Amino acid sequence: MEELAENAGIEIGHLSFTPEELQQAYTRLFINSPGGIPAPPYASVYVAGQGLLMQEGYGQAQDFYQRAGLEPLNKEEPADFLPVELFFVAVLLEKKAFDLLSEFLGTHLLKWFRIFEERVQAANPHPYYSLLARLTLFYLTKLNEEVFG
Amino acid sequence: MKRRRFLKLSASACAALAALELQGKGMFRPAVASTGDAQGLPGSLGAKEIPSVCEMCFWRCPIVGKVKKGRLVKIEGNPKSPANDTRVCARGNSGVQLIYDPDRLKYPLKRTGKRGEGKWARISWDEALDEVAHNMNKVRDKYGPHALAYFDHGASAEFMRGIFKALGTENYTNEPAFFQCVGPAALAFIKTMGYITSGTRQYVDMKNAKAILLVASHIGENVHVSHVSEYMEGLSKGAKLVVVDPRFSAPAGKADIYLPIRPGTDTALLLAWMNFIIEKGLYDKDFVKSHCTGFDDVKAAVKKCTIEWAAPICDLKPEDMKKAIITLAEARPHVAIHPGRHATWYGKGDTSRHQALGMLAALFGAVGVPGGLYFPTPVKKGHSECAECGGEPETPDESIQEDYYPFASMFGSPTSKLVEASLTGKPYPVKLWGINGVNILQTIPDPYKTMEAINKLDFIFCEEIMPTETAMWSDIVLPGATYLERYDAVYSYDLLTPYITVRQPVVKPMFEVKSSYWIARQLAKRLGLECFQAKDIREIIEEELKPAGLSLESLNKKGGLVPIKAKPYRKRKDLKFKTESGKINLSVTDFEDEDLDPIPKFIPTPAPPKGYARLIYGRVPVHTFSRTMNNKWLHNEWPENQLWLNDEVAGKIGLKDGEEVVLENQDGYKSLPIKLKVTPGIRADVVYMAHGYGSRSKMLTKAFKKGASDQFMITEYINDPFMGASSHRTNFVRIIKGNKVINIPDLCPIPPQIPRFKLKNAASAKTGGKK
Repeated sequence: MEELAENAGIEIGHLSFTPEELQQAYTRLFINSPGGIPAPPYASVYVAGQGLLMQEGYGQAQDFYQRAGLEPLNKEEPADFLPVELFFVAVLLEKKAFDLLSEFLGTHLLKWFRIFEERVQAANPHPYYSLLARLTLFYLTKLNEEVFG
Repeated sequence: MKRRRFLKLSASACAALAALELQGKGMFRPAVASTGDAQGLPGSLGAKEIPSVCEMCFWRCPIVGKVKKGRLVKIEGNPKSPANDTRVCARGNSGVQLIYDPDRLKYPLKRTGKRGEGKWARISWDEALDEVAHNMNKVRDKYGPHALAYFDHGASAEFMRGIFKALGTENYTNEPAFFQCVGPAALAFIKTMGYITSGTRQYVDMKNAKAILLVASHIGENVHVSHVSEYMEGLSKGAKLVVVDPRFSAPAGKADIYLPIRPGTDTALLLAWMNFIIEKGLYDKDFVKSHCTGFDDVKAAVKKCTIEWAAPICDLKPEDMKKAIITLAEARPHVAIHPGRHATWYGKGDTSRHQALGMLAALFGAVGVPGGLYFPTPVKKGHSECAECGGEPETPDESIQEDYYPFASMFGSPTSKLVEASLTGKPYPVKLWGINGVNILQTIPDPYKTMEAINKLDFIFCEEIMPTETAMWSDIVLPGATYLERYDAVYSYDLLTPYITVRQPVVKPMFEVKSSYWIARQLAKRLGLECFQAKDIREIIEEELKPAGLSLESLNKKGGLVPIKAKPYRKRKDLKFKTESGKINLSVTDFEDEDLDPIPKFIPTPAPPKGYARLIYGRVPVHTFSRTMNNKWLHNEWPENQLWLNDEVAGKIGLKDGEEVVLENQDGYKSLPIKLKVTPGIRADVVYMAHGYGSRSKMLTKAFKKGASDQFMITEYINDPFMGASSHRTNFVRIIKGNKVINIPDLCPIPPQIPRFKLKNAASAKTGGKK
């Protein structure tokens, strides 16, 4: 993570944590928490403001995977789970499928990720997840500019 | 930075960021050719259809799940089903929103804060199951097997029950389904008729009845599709309807005769009716002579119970009472005396009240005939030993079942006794609770006491689908698969339109949720129990299907369901009951042997103390228990409950329809805010709210604090002396508006036979000491 942050020009500062701390923080942000989780990591929750799993955002992600001739291996997590979508970005880059990548970022991933990132930062997150969200936003934004230009 | 370099860096960055979560080396594979999901068609058109069984409530209608690209898009009734056809109710439809609710439980969780606080950490299944097994062993070694207790309900709870049984505890089952619901009615009918006329199902033929009696059954407010359709069909064919209810319920609106009875006096009415038909010769003499025992005793016992005696007790007009019983008698034997379902009302007289309903049906000869009570149709179904865990419970020196309530052990351990034993350690310590499929804090009377008891436990865990209050109070939460994501068992339906079908997953389990069978099997393994031999639950299902000449494959080829010929009625000469005498017991000697009344007596339940009204509750048709309030569609339909208040009462105390109030019960506990529904459709001495609202789980983002919870106002309960169920209609409330406590005016005079409830601590109740 240090390397990623350095390349992005983001100051990490001093990060220290125990695995248990991260477990708890992750659960509160992304799994179950009083008042509802602040930032469900699924496109479906944000796209069209539906607030539910497996809706339009899920369908969009599936369509993009299909157009790339791919399908997710992991069937337990919904196809629009953030890590799956990020991995898809990496795959498209490797395949040099820049047009599809540009469309994926511009019309789907970045659109919902921006709201997601805001919600993470607004939820008084553990510094680790705050940084992770910032880094991801930085790289996705940069990448979008690059593939678009 | 050069474009190429950056792209390369981004690629590894994205992979790295993604890998932080899934350690995914390859998260994708080349797409397999489309399975013919009919791309591009709108809605559920062209979807793959998978037959299964609903569990939005326990009625379990056959359904078809429509799936597109791995996503459930719609649920309909299974058109092969003779019971519901393509119909499902609002809840059945909304199963879609149960699996896709972002609030649902997704991974095993371990409590990291205080019990009830809702601070959790995600852990692995191994860690979660190891922890549960370790604590079960530890508690059992230290305190003995009976220190383990299991709170169970519904299909998800069945396998795990076997584990508790195998570990030797007598507390391997204490279903709120019995001790907070149907227990007294089930017992009454088993002893009277020899079978569970009312349990999960009610074997009452409203479809072919010429008259129907409902005693506080509010069909249509509670919805079980085939049950409601048969009731509506009966009415549409001209059946007369008599409704007895302190509240003008949905069926009261359809009634030919509506009797707004004083709560707690139903048995007085039923005894007077029996006396009336015996005296006037309006009963079925031939049936009683050939198929009933104890008639002479009953005749003598009810002799003094005249209509004139009952009228002031029930607060009803004698002429209405007579008109109603004559209407029912004229339809005999085709008269549907509904056996009731939720029966845990007042504690002392509950079993007797349902016994009286059974007796009335028998006196009309309305058993085994069209329009009366009928018999279940036997369905050929196998039994797999692989589904079992073996082991027999040990008998403790002092049992919290039969040493307290003679018929408790037919149902398990009375819930209230388990809570008390957990609090006091008497008659033995209870130190570990396993909970499966029931939100105990919104189910068992006096949730405050339940929370106190939980705080005394060494360990508490649950298998749950939603983060309910119960999950919040658990040390370990095991996320269960919903009914749409798992196999369960072969289901048969033995009512008027019998069939055999099977529950099977319509979509793959999401996240890390697991099926109940998998969870039970893994836990049993860790406990060193040799059970659940089948690796895959499908082996069990195949075994269960075999005697019906079916396999999963052949059943699915037939649309997932096979109808069976119904055999509900009997010719009179062939009638035989599964009682010792082979006849209906109008007087139950099994009760007499335990020094309980063999023939129902009217036992008055205390009337409201001055300034209070009795709290009663019921259902809304779009919700089940406290289970569905967070479902997006159902929440949208009926987001909160209202408090029904008599219009004359409201006028006298200056309250208006729609105003928000708080309730305070006889022990000083206050409710969440609730809006008033001012109506002439309720007696002046009761108030009513629908059950299941007022969630206290902050994890349920839609249901949290919506409406008020009746359960959190039920702190006073009396146990049924027959089987130990706890009463729910023995609580009284007054109204708080702003900071003002408002007394309910006394508009219903109380006859001398009925005492008033005595406030335990008038002073504390007056100042409302508790929250």
